[in-house]
Amino acid sequence: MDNLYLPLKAEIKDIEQETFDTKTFTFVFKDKKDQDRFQYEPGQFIEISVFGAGEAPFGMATSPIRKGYFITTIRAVGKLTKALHALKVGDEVGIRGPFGNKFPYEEARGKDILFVGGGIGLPPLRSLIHYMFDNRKDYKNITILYGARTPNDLVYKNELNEWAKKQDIKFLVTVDVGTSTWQGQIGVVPVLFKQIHLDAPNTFAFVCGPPIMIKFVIQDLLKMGFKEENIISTLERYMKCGVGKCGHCAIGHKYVCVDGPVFNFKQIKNLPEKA
Amino acid sequence: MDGGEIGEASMKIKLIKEANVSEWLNGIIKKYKVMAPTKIGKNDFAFKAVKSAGDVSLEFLNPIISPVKDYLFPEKEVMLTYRKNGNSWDVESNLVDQEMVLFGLRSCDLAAMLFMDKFFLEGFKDTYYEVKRKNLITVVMSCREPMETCFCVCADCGPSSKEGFDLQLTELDGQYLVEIGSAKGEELVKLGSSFFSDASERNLAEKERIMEETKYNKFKMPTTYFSKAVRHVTTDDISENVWNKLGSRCMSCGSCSYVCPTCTCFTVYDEGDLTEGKRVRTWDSCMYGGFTREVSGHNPRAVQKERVQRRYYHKLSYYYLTKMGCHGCVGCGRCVISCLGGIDMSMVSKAARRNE
Repeated sequence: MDNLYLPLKAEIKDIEQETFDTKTFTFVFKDKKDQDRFQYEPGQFIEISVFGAGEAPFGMATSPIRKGYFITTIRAVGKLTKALHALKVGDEVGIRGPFGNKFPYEEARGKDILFVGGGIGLPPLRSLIHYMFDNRKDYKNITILYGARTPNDLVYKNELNEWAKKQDIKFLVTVDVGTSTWQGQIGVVPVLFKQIHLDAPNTFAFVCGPPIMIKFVIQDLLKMGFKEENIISTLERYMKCGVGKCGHCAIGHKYVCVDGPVFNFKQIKNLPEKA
Repeated sequence: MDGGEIGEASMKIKLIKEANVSEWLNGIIKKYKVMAPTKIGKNDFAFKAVKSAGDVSLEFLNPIISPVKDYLFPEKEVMLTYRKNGNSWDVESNLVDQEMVLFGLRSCDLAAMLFMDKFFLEGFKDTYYEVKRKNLITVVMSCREPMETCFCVCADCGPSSKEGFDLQLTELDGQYLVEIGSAKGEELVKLGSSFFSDASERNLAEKERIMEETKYNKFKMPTTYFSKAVRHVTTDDISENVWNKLGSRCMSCGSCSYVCPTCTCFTVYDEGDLTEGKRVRTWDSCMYGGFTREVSGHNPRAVQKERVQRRYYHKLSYYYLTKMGCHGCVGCGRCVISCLGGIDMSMVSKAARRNE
């Protein structure tokens, strides 16, 4: 009998140091059959096991179209993430998933797209950003806004430089606190709204970041005239099983792991507990 | 349906004399692993694996830990074992694949099992629950003497079960009426076929009469009006003061969740080190501050009032009721016994109803 809780083995193929506490891991399943069978959607998550340290959920940071491997970007903050950071290329972890729903990329076809990422909130959006880059003709104007605490907290720095050069998207970045060498924008993410023009009623916004950022960004988007159901976020909760059984991630009668993690603002607003 | 005898009579019914139950049970024990109520101490009972009918006490008070929950979803369960092997890992599932008879289950606990079946086996199937459940054979004993804390009648879960059992025994004078609910139940009867005789409609009517009498005359708990509590919890029109009062009385010990046979939350952790050990799951409780606390320190349910509110939202709200087909209480009364702060389903239901 297949065991829902038995992780499949995957090898760490690459580790990129993003910031002082954040690394990007590239995984490939040990068994090629597992890798081929691993189909996921932008917005879904996986459970990563480091045996002896436990298991925790992480959003995928790669587009499912780019097959053969998958990437997650992880900050070392707890027991499991610290153990994961101690691993090296060639080491093995356990993977379960993919779990959860997906970003509504079909509904967003033919519309303008706005991404707003804060800090470590960019990686889950990246899975959709890559997907939309790979299907560029399906979407109209794409704008990406990204904010971090300091220039040293920006992830995917090389890739951000590429995004800044791309002609078919608009990409703006800001930091809360600059450094002596930082020549870019300073201020929290919403300051970037003043530098862009959006056709609010015809734009889908994808927002991910710390709760306080999400709150202020959504307030601004609503003021600009965004439809509640077109403001999409991906929620986080303390979570164990990922399959709707352990009970930890419940918000009212919704479970972040199976009903989410992607919710639109209309759904979030109607939850019986604060998201 | 035509004629009066179909319906209930479609379930096979038998009779066995009280004096023959032990020998029948010994026959079952020879073939199956059996868990049954045993006396521990002066007036305390626990379901344990039994070696002979002599260990079994059929006149028992239902124990504080639900035997069916403790078997299908135990307090602590090893899920996997892991061992480092070079750069790789050897990981083994720990699945118990053995037939088991739970003899003497009460109706409330059978109702809880049907609730857990729906929860664990719909959507993603919980492998650990599924393996044990498909191997489980249930023998229910109708309650003729409910405890002071029981209110299964209000939850429509007792004192006798209507469905879902493999066998159900109800004590009549000097004998038991045996209702056969499944082929597995019939197998158990066959193990002692010489002890069983066919029961009549009259025997069944006698059982119904006795259970009705129990229902109306023997329950001491004040009636729990679930429907009103469901409405108030769902529409969220219970004053903050009520929840504050309940929150201030809760000591976050989690005992309500542990003893509740429909509480299914768990946590998972690794026991061992980074080279060898076990992945285990244990019961968890939404009454604990750590239940929702994230590693950043952020806690969406930061105060006890919100946790109590959460628990009763889960048990009573209409959204869960429609999802599960019933509310999350079988009226076993265990929370009435366990809660030191006096917060239990009956009390909360009353507070919700009166809004005070």
